[in-house]
This record gives sequence, C-alpha cells and structure tokens, in this order.
Amino acid sequence: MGRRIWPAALLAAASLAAVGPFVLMLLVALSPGSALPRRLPDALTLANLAGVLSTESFLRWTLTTVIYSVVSVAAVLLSASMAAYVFARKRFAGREVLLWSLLSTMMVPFHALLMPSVVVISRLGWSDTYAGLIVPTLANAQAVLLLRQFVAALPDEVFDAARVDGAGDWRVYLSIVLPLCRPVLATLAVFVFLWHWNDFLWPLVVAQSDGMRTLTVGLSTLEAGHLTAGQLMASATVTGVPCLLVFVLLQRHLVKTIGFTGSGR
Amino acid sequence: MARLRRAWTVLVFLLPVLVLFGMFRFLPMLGAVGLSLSEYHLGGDSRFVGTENYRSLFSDPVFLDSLCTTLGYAALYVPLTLVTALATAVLLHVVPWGRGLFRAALLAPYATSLVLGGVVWRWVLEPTGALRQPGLVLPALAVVGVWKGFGYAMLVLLAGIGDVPADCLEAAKVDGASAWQRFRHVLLPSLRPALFFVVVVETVSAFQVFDTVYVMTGGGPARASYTLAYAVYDYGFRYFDVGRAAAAGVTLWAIVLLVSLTQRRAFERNP
Amino acid sequence: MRTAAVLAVSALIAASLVACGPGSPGGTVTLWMYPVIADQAQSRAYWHRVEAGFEHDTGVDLRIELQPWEGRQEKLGAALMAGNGPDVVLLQSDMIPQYAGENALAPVDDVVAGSPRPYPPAVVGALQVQGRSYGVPLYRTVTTTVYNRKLFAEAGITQLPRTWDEVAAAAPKLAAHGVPVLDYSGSTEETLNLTFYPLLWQAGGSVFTPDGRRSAFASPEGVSALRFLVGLEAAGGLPRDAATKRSGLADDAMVTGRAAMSHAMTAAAARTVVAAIGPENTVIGLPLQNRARVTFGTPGALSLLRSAKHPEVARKLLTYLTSPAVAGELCTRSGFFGPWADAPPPSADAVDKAFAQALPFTSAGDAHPQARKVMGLLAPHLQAALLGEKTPEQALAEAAAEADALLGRG
Repeated sequence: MGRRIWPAALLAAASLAAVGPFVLMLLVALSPGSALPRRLPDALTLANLAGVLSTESFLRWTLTTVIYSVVSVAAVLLSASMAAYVFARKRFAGREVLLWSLLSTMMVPFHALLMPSVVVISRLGWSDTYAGLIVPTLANAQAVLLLRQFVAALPDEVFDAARVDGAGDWRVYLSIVLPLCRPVLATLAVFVFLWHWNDFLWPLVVAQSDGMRTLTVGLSTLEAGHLTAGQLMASATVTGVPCLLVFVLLQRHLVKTIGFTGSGR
Repeated sequence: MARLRRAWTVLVFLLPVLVLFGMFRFLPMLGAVGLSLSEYHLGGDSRFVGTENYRSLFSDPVFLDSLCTTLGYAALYVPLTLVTALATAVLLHVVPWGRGLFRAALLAPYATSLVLGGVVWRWVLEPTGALRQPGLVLPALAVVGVWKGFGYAMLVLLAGIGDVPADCLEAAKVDGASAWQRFRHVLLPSLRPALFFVVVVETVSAFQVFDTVYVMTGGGPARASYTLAYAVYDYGFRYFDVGRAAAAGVTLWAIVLLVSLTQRRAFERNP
Repeated sequence: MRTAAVLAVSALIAASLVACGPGSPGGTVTLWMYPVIADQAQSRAYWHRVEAGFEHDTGVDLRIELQPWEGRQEKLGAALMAGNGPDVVLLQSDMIPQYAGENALAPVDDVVAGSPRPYPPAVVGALQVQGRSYGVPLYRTVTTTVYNRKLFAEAGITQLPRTWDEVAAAAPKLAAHGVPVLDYSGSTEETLNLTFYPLLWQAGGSVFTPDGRRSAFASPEGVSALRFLVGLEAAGGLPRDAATKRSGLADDAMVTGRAAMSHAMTAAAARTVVAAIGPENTVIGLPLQNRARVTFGTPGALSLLRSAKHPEVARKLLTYLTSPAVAGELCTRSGFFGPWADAPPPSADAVDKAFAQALPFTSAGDAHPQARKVMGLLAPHLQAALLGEKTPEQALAEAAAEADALLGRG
C-alpha cells in the first residue's frame, strides 16, 4: 500500500506548486493589508478587486482584449476552415508547395518579423488601430494544418453523396465541413482565444494610446510600482480569471488535442 | 468551363489565407532581410548598407553576450522542463485516482499569460532578492518559464505514455522488473519520439524568451538577463536602430532553424 | 448550419471593426503630454482647460494625450516609426539631439524668438542643435540635495554633510542606526541625469569629450565618482537594493524616512518628502561639493515633429502653450520653474526659495545625439559595480569601450 502513497503525494505536491502562485495572488488580492498575510486573513475584502474594476483604463484594456480575442477566434476559424477544405478535398496545381510554405512560416520566430510587421502596418495606416492589432495575427498556420488533417480524415462517402445531390462547394463547406468539424473548431477556438488573451509582444508594440492596450500590456505598465501589492494582485487576478475559466470549462478539448497533435505551442 | 469554375472556387476559398500570409508572413519575411541590410530612420527614409548591420552586431560585445545569456537560459530551461514534464506525466499515469483534478491543477499555469506569471512571481521572489543578483536571475526566470510551460510538454508525454502497449509493461512486471527498470527499459525507449518533439519545441521557445524578461528584470541586473529576443526589442524600440534590430531578429531566426535542424538530424541518426 | 451562421456573423463584426478603427479626422493637432503636474486629477483638469482654451481661440481640434513617464522613449519611437506620432511633444533637452539627428524634428527658431518674455541664453542653447532651435522652453527642472534632519540627528550628526567627504564620514554612523545615508536608484529604467551624472560632474568629469567623438566618463574623475558610490555601498550607506531599485514609487526611501538624504531631487519630489516627514525635518541644501558644485537641471521643451500634418497650426499651438499665461500656470501647478530670464519662483514658498538657490549650479549635461543610448550602455555597468561584480575601473572601462564602439559607428 505504501508504494501507492508516494506517487500520489508527489503529484499532490507538484499540483500545489503549480497552483500556489494563483492562490497567493488571490489571497493578497482579497486581503485588506498590502503585505503577504502570515495566516488566512480574518476578513476578506473585495475592495482591491472593486477598485481595479472601476478604473477607466482597466475597463478599456479589458474591452480591447475581448475584441482582440473574440474577433481573432472568429476570423481564424473562418479563414482557416475555408482553406482547409480546399487543401484537403481539392486537387490543384501548387497545392503541396503552398502547404509547405505555410508550414515553413511556423519555424520563423515572431521576433524576426517584428520590425517589418510594424513597418507594414504603418504603411497601411493601421498603427494604433484594431485592424493593426488583429489582422496580422490571423495568419495561423497551425489552424490550417490541424483543420486540413481533420477534413481529410472525414469519410469520402459524405462528400460523394453531397455531389450526387448536386451540392456546390459553398453548400458542401457550409452544410458538411463546418458542422462535422465542430469538435475540432471548438478546440481551435480555445487555443486561439488563450493565445490572443495572453499575447504580449505584438499588442505591446502596436498599442500607442491607452485605449488600444490589452490587459497583458496594461498589467505590464502597472508593475512600475505606484500600486500596493493588493491592487497589483487584484489586477493580475482580473487579467487571469477569464482564461482560467475558459481553461477549466474546456480543458478536455485542450488535453486531447495537445496530446495527439502537439498543437498549441 | 467547369475547370475554370473549379479553379475559381479554389482561389476564393484560399483567398483569405493567401492574403493574410502574403501580407503578414511572407512580406515581413522578405522585409526582415531587407531591413537588416539597410539603415532605417524614424522619419521613414532608408538606405542600403549591405552587411554593415551584421558586421556591427557580431563585433558588439553586448550582442555577443546576449547570445551567451540566451544559451544559458536554454541550458537551464529545457532540461528543467523536460524533467518536470516527464516526472508529472509518469506520476499522472501511475496514480489511479484524482487524475482529472491533478491534471487541471498542473495545467492551470499553461492557460495564463507569462505577463501574469511574471508579475506574480516577481512579487513572490522579491523578498529573496533573486532578481537583484546577476547569478540568480537566469535560474529565477527559468523557474517561472518552466512553471508556465511544462504543462504542455507533460500532455505530449502523457499521450506518448498512453501509446505504450499495456501488455509490454505488464510483461515486464511479470518478469519481475522493478518500477525503475520498467521506466528505464520499456517506457523511456518508446517515449523517444515524444521526448524528441518536446526538446525541439521547448528549445525553440527558450530562444525566444521575452515576456518574463520584460516584466521581471528588464534585461538586468547588470545585463545578466539581456537575452537575444529582448535585444531585438531593445534595439528596435528603445534605440530605434531598426536595421540592427532586424538583423538581430534574422540572427534569431537562423539560430532557431539551425537548432531544430541539428536536433532532427541527431535524432534521425540514432533513432 | 448554426455554426456557419455564428461564424459568418462574427466575421462580419470582425470586418466592420477592422474597417472602422479609430481614425484621425482632418484638421486636428495632437500633443503628447506627460505628468508634469504629478497630481493626476489636477493634471487632467489643467490640460482639459488648455484644450478647451486653444480650441476656443483658434477653432482647431486639439487632442492632448496624457502619457505616463514610463516607457516614454519606446512609445514615441514606435509611434514615429509607425508614422502616427504626435504633432507636438514634450522633450527634455538631452533627448532633442537624438530626435533631431534622426531627422524627426522641425526647427522652431521663429517661435522661440517670438516669445514676449525672453529666455536666458543657457536655456535656449540647451535646446539647439547646430545653431537651430528644436524646442520651445516650457519649464525648468532644478534638482538639489534634500536631507532628513531627524535621521541625521538620531545618529548624532548635527552638521549636515555638504561635501562628499562629509557624506562618506556620516555613512557608518547612520548605518549603525540601520539608515543608509544616500538614497540611490540604480535601475536601468532611471535616467542617469538624476543618479550618476550629477556625481560625475561634481567629480569634475563629463560624459563625452568636448568634440563629442568619444566617451569621457572612464576618466579618473568618473572612477572617483563611482568609487564614492561603491564606498558608500560598502559602508552601508546606500539602500539594500540600490543597484536595481526604481525611484518615486509608493515606498520611496526618502518619503518613508528610510534614507537620510538625496543628492539630486526635483522640487516636486521634495514637496512629497516635506508632506511625508514634515517641514521641520526636511532641509533643502545646495548641490553637494566635491571638485565642483553642480547638479542636474534641464529645460522641458515642446518640440514640433517633422511629420506634423499641419505645421502652421502646430506652431500656433506651440506659441499658445508656451505663452507666459498658459506656461506660467503650468509652472505654478507643477512646482517647476518658469523658463524665462526674469522668472520669479512660481509660488515662492520655502521649497521654491531653497531650490532657487540651486538654480545657478544647474547643468543640462552634454547635448549629444547618442546621449540616451550611452546612458543605456553605461547603466548596467554601474549596476555591476554596485553589486560588486566589477571594480569601478573595470566597469567604466568596459562601458567606455561599448560607448566608443557606438560613437564610432556614427
């Protein structure tokens, strides 16, 4: 029996270490004093959280982050699923070359593209706009590849039957591909959402006015230190709670997809 | 006619992706090389200078130090991630109960941002003074990186363990192999592909460490955490040296390519 | 089908959002301003009034964006690179040569010459590059030494230190009481103008050689300045985290009474100290004396960007903002000095009078296009010396090698 205890104890310790910082963050955010409480504080307070949520800046950062994440999810799913359909189900000249060149962009670190991307959006007149923030992040090779794999694995009979019924490509895409892809679209949605919600470098260089900042960028400016620990941790909490919620609700999808395809890095 | 319409459909379906990748991946890829070969002023005028930016980078001790710092970070981060991920994956596989709960707890950091992690950990580490000592700052950053990143590697390895045929492990057990022997001689060899994948992916991400450096140390103290990715940002946005920043970015790109290719080669030679 | 509908609607929203990001309507002028008035509510109120006043007088749409001091250079650089910088921006005199060198600024000699109240030649000169003015003076920063008399008294020191030697002598006595004698903030985010450079100048050194072609801080004077700091550190004379800490935070060492003196404090910061530890405990003295008695002081100026879409309107804005009435009120509210030759201290309280004494000793430092880059190179080496990683000689020599390589690149 004792041999069964050790692994469990180790696992519990590792889990505690993983969530420990979050627990500390919450505790400090909820305690009235600014120092780390030695023991559970006698009274918890929502003052820090309420204070953060009532700052104008913070609400604007949240709005920007929501727009950045939600719009990106929709646009990535749409563009990637359309491309995935023809990549998986159509033969055309240059298909493999094109697919490989999309794949090759995954090997390019974003830092290498940072300066030219800034120049590109400035030439488009998109600096400090939602367009400049969102559109460059929609080129997502992983999404195209994952969806292509999934569409290719769908049974041929479904497509043949649709053809016999005389369905055109749009009909096939809308009434067969999208509905059948729902599980993988859901997974991708979670990935893309988390990725955008947590993204930092691109929003950092695009946002010039306070209203265009995302929560991560805003949080990094708060660190400059005019806040108490309680206020700082309350800000971190507000920034982190949505993605933790999404994660807890949808982790099944994540776990399966990362495990079997290695997506999500 | 039908052919033409089919080609037209293909084009329409591909159009969004083609435009997005063309404008925001392929064009910047060319632009990166172009900018790295020119002198670009804030006003917008630029001038071709050949390999001058690269020459000045590779004779600049600050830049060369940043390469070493990045290597140092990777040397801490990759093994630490690998060991943590492997250990937790095996434990998750072994422990029969509470698996969902443990897994969720272990994965929680993966779902949040490095900025949040950086802000919280900076505050946690503050009393220890680790971020004020040049010798301790890289290990501290690596710990935060591992905390945030190991969950992903753990899942990949967990799936790998799931693929190991149960009767192999069972047979070894019947033969009287100890837990360690089963791990060493049955599990580990069959995990090789997953381990290899994790090493490549994590090495590449270690070379791009930026968010935690920006939030926790600003490259300091005394440049002890001035990494390559941070240098790219610093040159570009603090010193407005666009050409040098682009050249440093292209260097990072080359390193990432080189690392993944050599690792692939090494793996293929002795599978 | 439902999935498709959801996707289509979302994409439509996406497209419309992307199409109508915040654009800039024609005929507006944009000003980037910073918390010159430290109090946020007061600052907002003042700039709001200025905005309304200018729009009323000229009918031009003025947009004032209040930016934080943090990451100031990065943000301005990114905006200029992206081609959507402001039309008018507040710059410190030592930043002007860099932006002028990048060909980002337009000369404003006419506005400077047209001022109804004359500026002193030193102020105008600090804002010139190759004989042309690139900034219209708005206010003047003066720094000087500020003491916490109570902490000195508790350590048995009644004669406040006025020279380096006296500071060094006081360090161990205060350290015995657990108090660092000098507050020093060595974070690389800090401008060296308020930390190391005043000491360098007091030692008789300078950052650049007179022709600006090489660095000059690795001189014997520079070494003695850094040795002074490292010596204090060894004697417990600097805060524990001096090498990396930032200044002006909520837990500032002077404000919380945990450091006995500061060698280069602005009047605004001094007022915070007075409010925190009491006027009876705060003493504002002259700049420290070593080989020279000198401290940092700089004109804050408004500069016109070359990329301004309506330069004539922007010039009007410069004239309006720097007019004695508008700028005068800014100085009163911020506690900074007026930039004019005949300026009386803004509200002439005790703090102002004390800082006025320091005014003749101020220097804006070397005007050099690479001044801020050299700061960025030097600061980590100063940290290394304070952390005991390198000797002062080593640290300055290595920093000088890097700086000279930069200057050689041009």
